[in-house]
Amino acid sequence: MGIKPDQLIVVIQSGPEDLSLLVSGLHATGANNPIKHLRSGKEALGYLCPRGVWRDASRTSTPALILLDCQLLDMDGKGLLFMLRQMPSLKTIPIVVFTSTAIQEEANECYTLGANSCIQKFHTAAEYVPIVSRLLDYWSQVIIAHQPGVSMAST
Amino acid sequence: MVMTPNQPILLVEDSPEDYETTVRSLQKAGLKNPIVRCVDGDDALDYLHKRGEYSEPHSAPRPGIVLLDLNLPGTDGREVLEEVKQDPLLKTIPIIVLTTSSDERDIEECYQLGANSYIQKPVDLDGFVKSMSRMKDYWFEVVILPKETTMS
Repeated sequence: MGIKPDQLIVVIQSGPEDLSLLVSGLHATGANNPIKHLRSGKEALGYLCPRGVWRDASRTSTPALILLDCQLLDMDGKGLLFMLRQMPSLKTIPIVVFTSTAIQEEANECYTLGANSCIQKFHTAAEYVPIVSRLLDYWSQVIIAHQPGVSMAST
Repeated sequence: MVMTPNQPILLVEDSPEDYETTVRSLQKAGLKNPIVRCVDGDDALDYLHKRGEYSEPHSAPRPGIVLLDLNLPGTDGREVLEEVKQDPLLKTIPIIVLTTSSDERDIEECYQLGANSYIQKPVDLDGFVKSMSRMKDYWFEVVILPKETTMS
């Protein structure tokens, strides 16, 4: 089973809008998953790091899917991807990266750094809807996700 | 960005029945890309490293994605996955594990080793066709696939 409807999706995207394009796209697909929007690399590390100086005590669960915009205001998204992939708690969590500059080159780098897939970034929420809806369909209906905590103990 | 139609899919599958079912499902889903089959893990590694029977130039074009069965004779799918994901030249190729196993340990191990996705083979034909069609839709129409930049 893939990502369940009650599992957390984390979106890491900077931007001037109150709600990011990706988050709007996710809402427009009718997905009921709780969504945590993190607006900077620093905020993402604080939320996703189980320990450390930026630790955010409000975090309640490990995300089932991370959507990462490669262009963040305070940090290179590829650097953040590298750091997230080093965290044992996130090692098996799918990370999908959205990229817009030098698309092919950046996609290659993101695959090298451990992105599960790379998708081209768009400029309007409407453009995200069909893409995000297929993305959600794939990660919730087609694949089997690792459910952290169910692992070795269940046998 | 759509995958270029000449980039093959590498299907690593020892069972002739499962190979046939996968190919038919992908063709039914409208896949235009060629499908290359490797029958076991060693065959797949030879193909990807362009060695042995694949050492002739152009005999083993780099695949757009790899569909990898886990339980293979000889070098099994887990070892193929581990080797590819540790190779700086090959690690960008998306590997989608396609297996009958729904064992939580396999799922965890494959994602730990760097599998891009893990798909359980549906037992019924209809389910298989649907699953392959959505897999193809995602990887070939939604995603930007990696490309070799050193050679054209």
